Amino acid sequence: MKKYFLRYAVLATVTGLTLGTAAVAGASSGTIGTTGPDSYNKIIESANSSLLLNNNNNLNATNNNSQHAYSGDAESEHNTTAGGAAAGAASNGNTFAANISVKNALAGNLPGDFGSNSGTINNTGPDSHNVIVFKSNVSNVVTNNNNLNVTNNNSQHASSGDAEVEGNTTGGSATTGAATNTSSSSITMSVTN
Amino acid sequence: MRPPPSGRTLVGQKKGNRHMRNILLRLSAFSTSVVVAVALLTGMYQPALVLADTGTAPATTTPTPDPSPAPTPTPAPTATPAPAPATTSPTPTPTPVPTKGPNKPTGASANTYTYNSATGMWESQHYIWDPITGQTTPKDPVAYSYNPTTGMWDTTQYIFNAATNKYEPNIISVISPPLGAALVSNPTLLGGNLLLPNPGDQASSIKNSGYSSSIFNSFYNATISNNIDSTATSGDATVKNNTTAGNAITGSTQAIANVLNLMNSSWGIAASNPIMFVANILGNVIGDMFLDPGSLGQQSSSVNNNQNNNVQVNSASNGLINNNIDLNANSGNANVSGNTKAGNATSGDSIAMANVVNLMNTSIGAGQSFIGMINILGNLNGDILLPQGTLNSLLASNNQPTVQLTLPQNSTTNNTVALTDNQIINNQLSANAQSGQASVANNTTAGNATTGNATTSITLLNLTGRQVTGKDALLVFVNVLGSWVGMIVNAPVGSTASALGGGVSQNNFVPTYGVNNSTVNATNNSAINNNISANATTGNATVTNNTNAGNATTGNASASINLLNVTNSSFSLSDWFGVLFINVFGNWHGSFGVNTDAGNPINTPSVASQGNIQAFAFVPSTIGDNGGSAGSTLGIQNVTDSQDGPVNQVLGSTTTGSSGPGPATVLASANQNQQWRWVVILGLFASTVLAGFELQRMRQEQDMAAAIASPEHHFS
Repeated sequence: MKKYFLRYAVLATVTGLTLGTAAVAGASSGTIGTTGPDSYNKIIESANSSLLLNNNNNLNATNNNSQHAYSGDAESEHNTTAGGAAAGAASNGNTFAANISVKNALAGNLPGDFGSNSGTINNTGPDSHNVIVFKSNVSNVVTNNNNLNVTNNNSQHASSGDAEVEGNTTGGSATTGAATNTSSSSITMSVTN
Repeated sequence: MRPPPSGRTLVGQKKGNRHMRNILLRLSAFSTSVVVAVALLTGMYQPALVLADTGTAPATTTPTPDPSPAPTPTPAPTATPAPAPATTSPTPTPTPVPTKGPNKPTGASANTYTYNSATGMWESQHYIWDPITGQTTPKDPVAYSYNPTTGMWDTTQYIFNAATNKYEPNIISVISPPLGAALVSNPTLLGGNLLLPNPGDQASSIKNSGYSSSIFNSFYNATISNNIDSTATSGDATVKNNTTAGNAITGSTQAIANVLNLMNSSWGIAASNPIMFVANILGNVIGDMFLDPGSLGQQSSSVNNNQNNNVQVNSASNGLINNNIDLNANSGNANVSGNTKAGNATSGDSIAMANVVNLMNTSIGAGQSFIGMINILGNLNGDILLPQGTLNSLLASNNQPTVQLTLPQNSTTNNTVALTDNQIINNQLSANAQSGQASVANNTTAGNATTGNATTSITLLNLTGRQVTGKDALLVFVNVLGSWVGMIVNAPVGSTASALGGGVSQNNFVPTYGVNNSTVNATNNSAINNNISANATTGNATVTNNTNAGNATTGNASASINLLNVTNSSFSLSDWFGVLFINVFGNWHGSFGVNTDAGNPINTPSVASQGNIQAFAFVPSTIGDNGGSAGSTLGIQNVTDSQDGPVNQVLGSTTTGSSGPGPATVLASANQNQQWRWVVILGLFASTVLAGFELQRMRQEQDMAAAIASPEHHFS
């Protein structure tokens, strides 16, 4: 009697992580105070930022599992006294787990988070011209293209052999073994943009 | 920029070559300035020049950035007017050259000027001409505003149109305004603290302007493909032409596939892994069993809210799950023929079973979870019950469901939300079971010919667009491969699957989006294709041409599919979440959640008789006690009851008290510190795999027992 038990396990874990760092400007403040007559005073706080972030992620995981388990034939033939003929069991077991995760994350805030600006004009002189200008020009373009593919190809064949008791004066039983295939697959796929 | 008064005044100043080129560019638009431009390039006029054009209005000029009076060089009238330049420059001329020019504006716009005796200047509607310097300055403040469409800074200048004899506005766009130029705020204001103590003073201003554009493009194409081909075949067994021989028995076959797919989904068991247990009921068991999830620990769940403002979000998600599963279990033929004395011909059982769980865009968060499998291999006469308190909670929630239809809520009217959600679930399920032929023929003395049972079962549960916030929930699957007389509580008669919820406070069908001042274009295409075929066939059993032989019995063939599809759903449960599979391979006379007469004794047992209650063995350990071991422990318990009286059994709780014995065995434990979710998933499938092996082992034991019991098995 032969017994085959094949166990094949594949664990595929692919993790993609993209971090984009971006400069973040803090809050601005400006104060014009105690200006003279007919004076011209101007404060310009200018902040410009531009971000172009492209994340192209291609993740592929493939599991090819081909299992074959065969037990041979058992024969008890043409004996005066013989025992049984028992073919063994044939069993295949496969476990496949894939955990694929893509996380496109920006570390911190996006550009353009300039916070709160504060400006103060006081004690200005007569006919003075006082200007505080905060201006920002922010352009953020974030593009995430993710292609994820997981393929699990599992082929299992389990066959127990034949058992034959033939032509005996006294013979036993003919018993064939069990044939078992079990397959367990767990695939986790997540995309975080 | 400046309307040219009549006449031309040439004021020579020393400048660098760069400035000369700038001036030349400004002059190039005017035909009357060509001569001067050529002269500048060729050095006719040394070293540099500032030109005050008193002729026609310029087509393009550089606006004067500062509304303050233009720097006035030393008056330098010239005797001979210079050719008309295109522009004037605000740049002071450090070395003025006295010249004598005209004392009044000339040119097409000359008649629009009037002399102001108070200032000594000639003034038009929009310009002032200085007769001393011959330069013009705009009367209107020059301010720049950002044009988000073009990305340029715009200012308005006035150009004299001789045809209409009017000044007409002309928009001038520059990449960046000159240093010190006044800026006009944009409509989009950023937050800030602005203090303007003299609001009446128009000369003082604080401007907070900003232009922000954020575009997020998120696209993903995700595909999960499971192609499973499984064939289990046991060989033939033949006993023939013997004087004395035994049985012909073919082995059992099993083809089992367990598939769990999570696409953009999570099974968020934060504190501990789910309690997993497998219960095998063998033999004849009489009595009810209790499942008590209340003993499971609790874990609070948190929800993160994100809000995006002033952004454009383009999202396209394409998720595809393909399950192509083909399972075949075939037991061989058993043949007993031509013997003087022989035994039985028995073909083995065949089981083809597919357990598939697909979660797409779904999250499950619970304080504690359990996944249980009860295999009724023998005969169970009794109910599987929940504690009354838990049962009442589930029933109350299901009788009065709270269903809300929530549409996107926007705080402003400028928001645009375009949501497209396409969901497709295709289930092509096929379960075929066929037992072989049993034949007893042409024997002198022989036994019976009995064919096995052929059963198929497909249990399908689809949940789409479901948001559940509550206390606990339970998914129950009853996979009938043998016979079942009973029902699931609060489910229609004949149902084999049900979702029960307890303490449900929210049960929404449409997801909510909290976005403000945003444009959201979200397209979600999700498809789940299940092509599952489960086939089980048992071999033929033949007893022929024997003098004395036994029975011909074919095995049982069962093909079953348990399929759960959950899309765009979320379960946020404060207490527990459970999945219970009840596989009825044998016979079950009883119900889930309903205490029927099944399993109850004819005579009501007295209190004293409670001492005979046998605690069922599936008892999870107390959460957090002594740390426990990492991961979940799979518990497999075989229950065989040979008692005549009823036996009450408890699943998932600890039986204490003096009236009954304590828990027989701790079969499942959990660890709060478990971090790896996939271990949980593996554990789930490991449990099923082990259950399959356990089932196989039991079948073999039964076969062996049958073989041993057979008198033909014993021979000298």
